[in-house]
Amino acid sequence: MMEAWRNPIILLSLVLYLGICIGFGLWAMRRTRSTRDFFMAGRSLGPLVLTFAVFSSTLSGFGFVGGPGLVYSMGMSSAFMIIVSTAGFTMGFFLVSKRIRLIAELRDNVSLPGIVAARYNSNPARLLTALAILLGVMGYLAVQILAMAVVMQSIINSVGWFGSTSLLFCMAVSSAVLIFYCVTGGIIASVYTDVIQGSAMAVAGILIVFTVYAVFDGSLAGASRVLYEDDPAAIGPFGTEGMICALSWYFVFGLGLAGQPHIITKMMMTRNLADNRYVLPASILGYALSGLLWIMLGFAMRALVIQGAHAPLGSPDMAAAEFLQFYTHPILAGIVFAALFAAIMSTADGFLNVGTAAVIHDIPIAVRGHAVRNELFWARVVTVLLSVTAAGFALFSYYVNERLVAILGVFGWSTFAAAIVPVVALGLNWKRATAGAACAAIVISLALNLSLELSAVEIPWGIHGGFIALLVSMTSFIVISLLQSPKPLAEDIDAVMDM
Amino acid sequence: MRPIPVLLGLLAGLLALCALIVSSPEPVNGHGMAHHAVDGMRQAGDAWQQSEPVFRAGYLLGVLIYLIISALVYIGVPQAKRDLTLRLAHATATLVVLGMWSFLVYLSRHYLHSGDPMIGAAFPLPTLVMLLGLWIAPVSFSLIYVLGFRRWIFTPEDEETFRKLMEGRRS
Repeated sequence: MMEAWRNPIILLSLVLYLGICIGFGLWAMRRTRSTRDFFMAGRSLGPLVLTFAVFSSTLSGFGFVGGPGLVYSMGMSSAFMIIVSTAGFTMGFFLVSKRIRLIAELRDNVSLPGIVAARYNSNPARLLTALAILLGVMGYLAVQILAMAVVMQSIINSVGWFGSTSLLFCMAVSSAVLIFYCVTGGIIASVYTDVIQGSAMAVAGILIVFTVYAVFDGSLAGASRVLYEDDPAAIGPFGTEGMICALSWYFVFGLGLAGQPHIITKMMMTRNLADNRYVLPASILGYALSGLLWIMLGFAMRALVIQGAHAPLGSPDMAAAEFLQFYTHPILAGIVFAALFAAIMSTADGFLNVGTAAVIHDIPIAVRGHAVRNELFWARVVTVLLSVTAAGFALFSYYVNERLVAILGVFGWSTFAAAIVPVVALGLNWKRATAGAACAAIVISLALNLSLELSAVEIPWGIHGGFIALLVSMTSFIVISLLQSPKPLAEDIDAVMDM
Repeated sequence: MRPIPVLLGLLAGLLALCALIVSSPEPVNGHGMAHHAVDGMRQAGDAWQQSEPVFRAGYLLGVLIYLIISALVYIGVPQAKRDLTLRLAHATATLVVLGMWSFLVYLSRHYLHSGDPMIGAAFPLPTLVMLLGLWIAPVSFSLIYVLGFRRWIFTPEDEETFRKLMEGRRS
């Protein structure tokens, strides 16, 4: 009975989630009275909301679509991107969370480049950080907007009530909702939608484990045996890609977490720094539960296809959607699809927020020496402009040049990692670090990541290019700092760095 | 020992090891190949051939990565607060993650060489150790943060200093 309503239930879940987003936007609008509210949620987040904001931001739509696809394709190799989260969050909290929050309050900063400028007393460092963020944001945002449209189109068309719905229409609707709640509610609306996303992901992660058990008649060992007989390495700990490749992902995704602007800016928003001792373990737990989706969906689909119970997928990225479509309870499918959409949107709104701050706050201060007047108004205008530009990139890429978004997308996780980890994670913990080294690390990381992507070099043993870029940028940051004479720190920053 | 020079040494060691690995001849399909029967899926082929030439280098790569993580955690605690208890806790946490990594590599070698699937609960044993052990082991560092927050991360004295800093700025 309910099976017949599977697709309408999924569509209803999506519509419900979009309605919640609009509701949060309207509610948050009343709480957004200044740029500090718009970008920093008034630095008033409690531990629960902050936990959801931190771990939900870490898992974008890629975690739902690309992650299970990677496990389907490569076995356990990509699990290293997930299991590193414990070390990644821990390093992020040790290295960044305290000082970024203290400096934000001390200097009334509303953005990551502002923290960099305060730490190094350097406007060039602020400008380069803002530009690196902007480049990364445009790529990530275009990818997320395209993903939103593709997912919405697939859900609407599977119901069949409206004939064939175009991608352009889906992009317009999903972007309109995204823009609405980002413009009205700023980061406040964003973090509260993260709560919905995070809850749905954690619940879905647990339920998916039981579903997979049920699909294999209570014997995951049987499914593992099927995979083992096909290829022992695939179900082994390093998957088909091997140990070196898995470790390079581990390094980039673990250490890189401390350089993701949309994640670490959330650490500036806590009401009480002492809450961090609860936020860290709760974030680790929340992410672990959500990460089960990544691993279990891909594992189940690989086993089902290998044992001939399911037809081979047209694309590995279909792994999650096919499993949800054919093997889960319709309500669970609805929850996971809504969580998928939420993951994409919450990542997109996080990026919109840090990108807007870079454009209207940091770049003007770095170039002209002062911020624009009426920042809140311009923040809202630029949020719309950034969304529309990113949607344009996404459409152009989809219809004209498929490689454009891929090239922009490379300014994603690994570029943020290579550009920002040394400057922020090391720089906030080492007084000897210099502004020159910070600028050099950003330039080197951008150049290295872009050249590796444009030249399409495949590094032997499957080593991730971002691993090399991160290693080189961290090493050069330390070496250049040691070669330069450090300038005295501002008194307040010096005091914070002693804490 | 000062942690930044140690970190620099570890990073340089990791770069050198990477250069060594990249310059060593990679066997055909050394990091996977297209699956023999299913489009869009990959397989490792001969796992022994895939892993053996760099097994030791891979182990060392993991050790260096965990030492870098350990060094960064240590750097995250201000110098003045790095007392003996912290050092002991930190050393223990480092040993826990290194021990888990070594155990995983040991099991993986056995898994790849013996032809024994080692499937117990749900997954082969090395995969279970990766998923449960390696995922959870760094909690030993998290515990230092959580349990020692008021002693090593943000002490009541820090709070007071910060309050005075804020007062100074307001006045």
